[in-house]
Amino acid sequence: MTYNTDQLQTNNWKLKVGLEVHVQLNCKTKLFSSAPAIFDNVKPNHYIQLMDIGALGIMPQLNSAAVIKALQTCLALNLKINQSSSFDRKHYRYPDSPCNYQITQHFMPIGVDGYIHTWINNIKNTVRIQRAHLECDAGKSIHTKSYSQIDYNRSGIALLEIVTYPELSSADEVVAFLKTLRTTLKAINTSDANMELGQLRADVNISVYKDTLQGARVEIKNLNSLNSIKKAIEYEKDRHIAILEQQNTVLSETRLFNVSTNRTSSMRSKETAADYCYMPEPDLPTLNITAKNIEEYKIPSNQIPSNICEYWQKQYGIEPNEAWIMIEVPEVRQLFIDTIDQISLENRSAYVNFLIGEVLAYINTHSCLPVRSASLLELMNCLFSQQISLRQAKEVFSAMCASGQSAKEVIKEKGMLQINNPETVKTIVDEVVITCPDEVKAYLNAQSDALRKNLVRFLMGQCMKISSGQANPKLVSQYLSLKLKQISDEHKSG
Amino acid sequence: MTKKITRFSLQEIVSLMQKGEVSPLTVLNECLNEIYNTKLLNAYITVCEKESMQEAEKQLQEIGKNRHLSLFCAPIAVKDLFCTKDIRTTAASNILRNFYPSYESTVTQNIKNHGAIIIGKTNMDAFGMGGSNTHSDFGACINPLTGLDKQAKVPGGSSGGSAAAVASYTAYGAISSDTGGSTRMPAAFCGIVGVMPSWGRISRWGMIPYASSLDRPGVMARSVTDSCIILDTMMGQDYCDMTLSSLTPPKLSDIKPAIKGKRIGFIEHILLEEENKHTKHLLLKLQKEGAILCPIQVPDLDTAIATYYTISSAEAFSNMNRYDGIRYHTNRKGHTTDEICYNARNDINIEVRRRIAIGAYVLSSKNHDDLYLKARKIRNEITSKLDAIFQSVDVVILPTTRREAFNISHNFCNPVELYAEDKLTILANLANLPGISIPTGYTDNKLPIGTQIWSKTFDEVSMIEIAKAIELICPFSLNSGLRYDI
Repeated sequence: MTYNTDQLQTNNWKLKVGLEVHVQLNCKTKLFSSAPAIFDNVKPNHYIQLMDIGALGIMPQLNSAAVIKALQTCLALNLKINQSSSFDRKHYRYPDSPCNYQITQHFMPIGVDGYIHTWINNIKNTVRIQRAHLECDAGKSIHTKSYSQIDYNRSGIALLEIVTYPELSSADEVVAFLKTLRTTLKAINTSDANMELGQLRADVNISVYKDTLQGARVEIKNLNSLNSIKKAIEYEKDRHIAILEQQNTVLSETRLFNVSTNRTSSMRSKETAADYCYMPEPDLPTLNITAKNIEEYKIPSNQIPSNICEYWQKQYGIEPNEAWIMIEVPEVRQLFIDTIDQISLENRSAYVNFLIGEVLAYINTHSCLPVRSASLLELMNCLFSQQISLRQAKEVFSAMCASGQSAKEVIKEKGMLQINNPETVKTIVDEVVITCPDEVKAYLNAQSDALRKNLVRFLMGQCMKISSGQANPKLVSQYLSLKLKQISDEHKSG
Repeated sequence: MTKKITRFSLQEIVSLMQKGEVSPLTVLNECLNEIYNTKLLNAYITVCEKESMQEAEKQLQEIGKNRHLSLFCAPIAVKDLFCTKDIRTTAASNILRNFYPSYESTVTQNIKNHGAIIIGKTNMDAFGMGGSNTHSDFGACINPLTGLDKQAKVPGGSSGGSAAAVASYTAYGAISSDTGGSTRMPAAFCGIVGVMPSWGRISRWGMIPYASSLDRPGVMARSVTDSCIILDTMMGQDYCDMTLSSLTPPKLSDIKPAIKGKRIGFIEHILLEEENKHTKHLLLKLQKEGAILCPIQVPDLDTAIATYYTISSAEAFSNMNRYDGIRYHTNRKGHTTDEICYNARNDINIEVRRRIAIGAYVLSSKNHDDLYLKARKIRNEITSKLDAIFQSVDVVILPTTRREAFNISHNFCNPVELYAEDKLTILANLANLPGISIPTGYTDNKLPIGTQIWSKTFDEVSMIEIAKAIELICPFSLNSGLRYDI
C-alpha cells in the first residue's frame, strides 16, 4: 500500500528518529578471544576459538586493542568516558548466538552523552549521542530450502554500539549523520565502516508527532545501505501519518525493510518485547580507564573530520559542503592540509575546484594518488601564473599521474606553455578572421545576440585550434572582440 | 606390607613410589580394583581404566624426569564438572551424556603437570546444583560409611561422588568444587577433609560453570596435609581467567601447624545446640592449647540463604541458557528451533530446571531491582560485615552441617528445605572467604560430622595453620567408620 502524501496533511507532522548503530572495530582479533577477526569471503567456521562457539567452561579474555579503539571513538564523538565501566549478559536464544547470551555493556557503558557536528546544505546540525558501548557480534545464519547452517567466523568480533538521542528530524539528517560517522571512524582508524560488508549497520527507531499527539515508536531493521535507510524512513513516515490521520494507532513493533519494494513489513516471528534478563558478567572484572589512558590514546582534535571542517570554514572560508567532499577522502584531505597555506587567497577557490574536480576524480577511479603535494603545488603555480590554461592543467595532471613526471617536465615535453604574448595572440586572431570570411560576414549581418554569440564562439574555437589550445583564452577573447568591433566599425562607415 | 596400599595417605604413597618401594602400576591397579569392589556406591560416572594405565606407563617411561613431582603417579579422582580432554565429561547430566571435550581444564592440566593420574570422573548433583548427589542423571551416590540398604545415606552434595571416592579408598584425593558448600558438606558427611580456597585463587577455565561469581574449584583428601599437596599444584597464574587474583599463592605444604595465640571467632547460639557439641569440644581443646576464643556476631543466616539462592539461580539460568538442543543436542526433535529447544530442555534435571526458573524470575525486568539487585546489595553488606569480623579474629570456627548425613530416600516436602542444609556453609561463599571442613567426630548413629574453619579472603595460610594443628591435637580415624559391605 502506498500513501498519497499530497492528500495527507504532512505539514504539521514532525518526525522523530533515533539510531542504534553497530560499528565493527577493525581490531586484528576478536573482543574476547584471540581468533582472527575475519569473516568475509573465507571458509566458514575457520576463524574461531572455543570462546566463539560457546564451549563449556571457557572464559572471556578482553582484547585491549578493542578497548583502545572504543575509547578513541568515544572521545572523537565527544562522549564522557565512564572510567569504571562493566560488562553484562543480554540473554536471548538464537542458533547464531553461541552461549544464547551476548556479552555487552548495559548498565555502565564506556561512554555517555556526546555529540557530533554534521552539515546539510552548508547548515550545521549537531547530533547528540546518548551512549556508546562494547559488545560482541553474533555468528551468521545461512538458510537453504532443506536446512540451516551457522557460521561462527563473525561470532565474537568487537562491536561498538552507538545510540543517538531520538532527535533526528528527517531522512537527510540521518544520512548526513551516518556519512559523518563513517568518515570519522575511518579518519581515526577504529573501523573501516563499510556498510556493504556489514561493518557499519544501523537500526532506525521512528515515530511521528503533531502538537501533543505522539505516535508509537517503530523499529526498522535490515537496512543495508544509506539509500535503504532514506527510503525506509520516508515510507514509514508516510505510513505513520496516514494511520494517525485516520484516528488509528500505530502499532509499536519491529519491521523489516524490503529493498526491492522500498516498503517495510511486519516481522512474522515473535521476537518483539523479549525480556533480556540483563545480568552482570561474572567472568570479567570492572573495566578501569584512567585519565592517563585517555591522554595517551586520544586522537588529536585536529584530526577529527568535524573539527577539520569547522577549521577550514573559519580559516580558509571553505563552504562545509565542499570541505566535506575533500575531508571524506583521506588523500585529498591530507593534500589540502599540506598545500593550502601555499595557495594565495584569490586562487583558493580555483584550487578547491581543481582538487574536487580533477584530483578526486582520479582517486575515485584509480583508488590511489601517485602525485605528491609538492608536485601538485608546482602544477598549480604554473596554472595560477597563467603559464598554462586550466584545460592544459587538467591534461598535465593526467600525464603526471600516468608517467610520474613533474609538471614542468610534462609541460616542456608537450610544448604546452600558454601563449600570453599579445602580439602572437593578435596574429592568431588576424589569421582566423582572414580564413573565415563567411563567419565574419554572418557576424556583421547578424540580427540576434544569440547568433552573434554562437559565431564568436566558433571563431574562438578556430583561434584555439590554430594555436593547438595554447593561446591564453582571455587574451584571445579580448583581441577577437576588439578585432570584430574594428571590422564592424569599418563595415558601417565603409 | 601389612597395610593395604589403598589405605596409605597421598603423601605416603607418593613417597613410596618415588623411592621405588612400590610400583605405580600396582598402586593404580589396587585403586581400580577398589573402584570395582565399591561400584554399588555409584561414586564414579566414568572410570578411566585405559587412560590411567596409559598415563602411568607414560610417566614411568620418563621416570627420571617425573619422579620428583609432588603427585607422581598418584591416582586422583576428578568431579565430572571439569572438562578433561578426550575423557567424557557429563556434569552428571543427560544433556552431556556423550560429551567428550577437546580441551583440558586448567585445574586438571595443573595436577597432571605434577604427575597426577586421573583415575575417573566422579558423580555429583547435575551441574553442581544440589546438596545430596540425588539429583544426578546417573543415579544417586551412596555414602560409603553407611549400608547399601534402605538406610543408605547421602554422601552430601554436590561433590558427593568425589567425597565417596576418597572415603572409600579408591583414590588418594579428589578435585571437587564449592559454590554454596558443595565441597565442605560432603566432606563432613563422609568423614574426610574438604578445602575451598578463596574465589579468584584457582582458575575456573574449563570448569563447567554453575554460578560463576560463587564457583570455586576445591579439593578433598583424607588429611589436611594431603589436601595441601594437591592444592599447591592447582593454584597459579592463568591468563585465560580474568577473575584470577594476581597475588602469589602461598605454598600450603610448607605451612606449620599453629594454635597458640590464635584468635578464633565462634558463634554462640550455634554452639549451644546439642548436635554441635563436637565443635564445642574441639574449641575447648584448642583453648587449652592456647587459642583465644572470641564470640562473634554473623549476619542472619536465613537472609544469607535467600541471597545465595537468588544470586546463584540467576547465574545458573544464564550459564544454562546455551543448552538448547541444537549445540549439545539430545536427539529431541521439533519443527522450529523453539520447539527443539523446549523438548531438549525437558531432559534437564528437575532441580536444575527449578533453579533456572527461579533465575529467570529474579532477573526479569519486572523483578530485577526488587530481587536480584537487592540480593547483590545484601551480598556486599555481608562481605563488609565479615571483613570487619576478621579485623579482630584470625579465623572463624563453626560446624559444617546442622546434622549427620540424611537418608537417600528422605523426602523433602519442599525443595527449600534442602536449601536450608546450606545454612552453615553459605556465608563463606557469599563473602569470598576460603574454608575448610575437617572431620571432628561421630554422631550417635556412628556417622561422621565435621567442623569448618573460615579465614579472611586470600588468607588460606591462617586457615591451614589451624587445620593442621587440629589434625595433630584431635586426630580423626576414618577407618573405624567404614561400614559398607558388598
